[in-house]
Amino acid sequence: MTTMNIAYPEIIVIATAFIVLVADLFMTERSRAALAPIAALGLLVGIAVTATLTPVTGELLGGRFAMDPVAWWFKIVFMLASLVAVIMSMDTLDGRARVRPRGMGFRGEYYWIMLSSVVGMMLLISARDLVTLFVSLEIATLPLMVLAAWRRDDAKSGEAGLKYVILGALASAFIVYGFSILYGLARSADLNEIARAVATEKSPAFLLAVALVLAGTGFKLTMVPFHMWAADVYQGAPTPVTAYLSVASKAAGLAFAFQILFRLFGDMLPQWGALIALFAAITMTLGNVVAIVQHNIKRFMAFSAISQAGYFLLGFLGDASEGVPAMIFYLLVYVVSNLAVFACIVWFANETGKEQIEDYRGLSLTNPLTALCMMIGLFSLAGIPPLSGFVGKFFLFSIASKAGCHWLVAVAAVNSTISLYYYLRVVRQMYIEPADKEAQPPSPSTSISITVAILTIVVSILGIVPTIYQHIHAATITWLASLQ
Amino acid sequence: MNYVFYIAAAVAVFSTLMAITRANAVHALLYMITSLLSSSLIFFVLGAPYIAALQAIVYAGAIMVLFVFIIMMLNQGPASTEQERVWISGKTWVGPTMLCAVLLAELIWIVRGDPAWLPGKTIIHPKDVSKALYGPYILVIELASMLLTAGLVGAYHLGRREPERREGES
Amino acid sequence: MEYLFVLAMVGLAASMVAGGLIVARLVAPHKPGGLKDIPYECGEQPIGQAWIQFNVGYYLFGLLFLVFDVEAALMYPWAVVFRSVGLAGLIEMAIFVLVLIIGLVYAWRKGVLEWV
Repeated sequence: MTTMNIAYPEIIVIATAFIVLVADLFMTERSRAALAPIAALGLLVGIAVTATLTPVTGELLGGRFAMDPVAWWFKIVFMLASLVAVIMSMDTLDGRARVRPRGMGFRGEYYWIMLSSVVGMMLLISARDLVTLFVSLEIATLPLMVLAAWRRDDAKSGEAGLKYVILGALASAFIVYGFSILYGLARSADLNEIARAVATEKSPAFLLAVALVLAGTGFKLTMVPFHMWAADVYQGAPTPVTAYLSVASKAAGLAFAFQILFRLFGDMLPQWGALIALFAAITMTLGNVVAIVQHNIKRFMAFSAISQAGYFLLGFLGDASEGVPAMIFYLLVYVVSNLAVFACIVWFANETGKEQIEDYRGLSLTNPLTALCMMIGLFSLAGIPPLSGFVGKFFLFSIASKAGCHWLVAVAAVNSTISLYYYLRVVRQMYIEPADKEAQPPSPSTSISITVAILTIVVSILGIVPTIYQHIHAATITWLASLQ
Repeated sequence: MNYVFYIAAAVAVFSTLMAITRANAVHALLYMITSLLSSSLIFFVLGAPYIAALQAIVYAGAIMVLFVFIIMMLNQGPASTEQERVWISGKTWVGPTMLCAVLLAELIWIVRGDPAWLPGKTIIHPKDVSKALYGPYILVIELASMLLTAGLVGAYHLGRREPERREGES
Repeated sequence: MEYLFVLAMVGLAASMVAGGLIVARLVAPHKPGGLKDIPYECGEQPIGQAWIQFNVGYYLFGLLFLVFDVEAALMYPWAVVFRSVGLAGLIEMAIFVLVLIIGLVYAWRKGVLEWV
């Protein structure tokens, strides 16, 4: 038994969430501008406490809540993503944006909902039994559904929320049905015990459970063919929410996939290589090909995110001691790069109210630094050396290659080229097309500019500085040892 | 005595099928209530009386919300008169009522003797559930309260009235 | 045999309903009329259809009810083991209720409970 301190990150975030909710009740509309700094501060403290946590391994409540080095990384990523999302939302919610979309107020509720979803995600990776896993999954996703529909007056936002609710509920139903069968087969709700009990299971019921749980996981990861919700939800949701969705829900999906594929079905994972390779190939190809023809930048980013999910899947092939650090590293890279791009998109939407790719023309003339940052973020997503996206993709591709899936590496390489083409479409608009003369040039925003600058620096150095990857790799080795 | 379970399961499957194929939302709801009650009975037959009670208690509330929600959301047209006429005729009550009667008969069949012969190998007493919930699974209980509050706030945000503006209300 | 109480309860409930109807049939004078077939709406003359768009407020109230319904359902098991879980259980329950009370206070302050 260890002490309570491994639960401090969650406790801090939960406390922040409740402080925000209660403070909101006793504030005037004017003083509610303080809510975002409170939320951001809470998340910063959470990150700091997590970062200085020693030891990072331990369990509470009879092993039903556990902290390990991999969970540590996921929690850092979750809190980081939501911290940036909170900062991005500030301008719109506090009314500093030039174009303020209707129905984007209600700050107390907004940050409370966002923080609750972070709590769910953080518990998701720490859960060690089916019940906690499922409830934390629900806490993570239900707030995202509310956030997607946040602008109730907007038909697109409502559509996004409704589609997310219906398809998300279906995915949850799949997962919980699969869980119930697993519980019946193993007569235990403990993930490790189930893993032991089903290691040699071949019954049809078990296969059904696996299919159901994997389908649900695929939905959370936006894996083709379970990706249908992503494009409409990303496009319809308010832009800061889309930014949050694209990184947080993907990170949560990966955390859930870790729990399922490594902890629950770890023994069977090597046999599923062909299936995962197939899904990876379909996912990245479809995401990339459809992204080419998009005009709305949020929808474009949605398909980009789907194709990135395909790259993540490569990490499940082959040796876990290489796949896990590669996936976590790429997750970090993806989150930072995507947030850098989305911070620019949020800022641009705040200033101009436009979200077509063509609207970005001439941005390098009016706002050269922002255009540069956005370009670096997009290039990192495309995987251009020496940016971190290249390093992350390199690790993932080499895993697929070592696992013997050379055709998959070829598919992934072709896909990277395709993705470069469509990321360059945005860059072309910013750098080559002339600026719109009549349009008022967008003016910079302090909070978003600082965020973009920091994120861009991180994107640039993450791949060059080896310590982060080394830390992730070392963390993984101890984690994998604990799985046995 | 497994056939008690199978009858309840058949009722559940049939009423669920009926619920998703009904054109009239209220009829669908009636079948859905039957379906939920039959799953409650299945829990009971399997030796989990607490979960059976929970199913009935919670879904009684949930169904009411759903009822209000559906009536609120439906687009009402001239067809509603015709719908109502059919509704009042009492014919549509026959199906759910008969299925409910089957369930009731089953319940009587079960409780008339000693429940030890139930298909469930062991009876999970409410006390066992409580010991698990307030022992090792306490995190789930606290998480449930967080989930409920988050849901409450979210639902309030999406369903709130805006006095200053009437048009375009979804 | 412990479930015989349930059976007795079912029988009692059914006989209450059936008894009421039978007694009414025997005692009450039988005079059907058009006015009596009108749905009862608190003595008011019913206006229009029952299928109208309801105020969204009903939905919020329904949801509030549902949240606290689930809360109550989770409190039953605590009541069963109240003694054996002791102080720890009390604290756990206090946190649980506190979180939901914050939800209630939230709804109260935001005017969800007010009927405009």
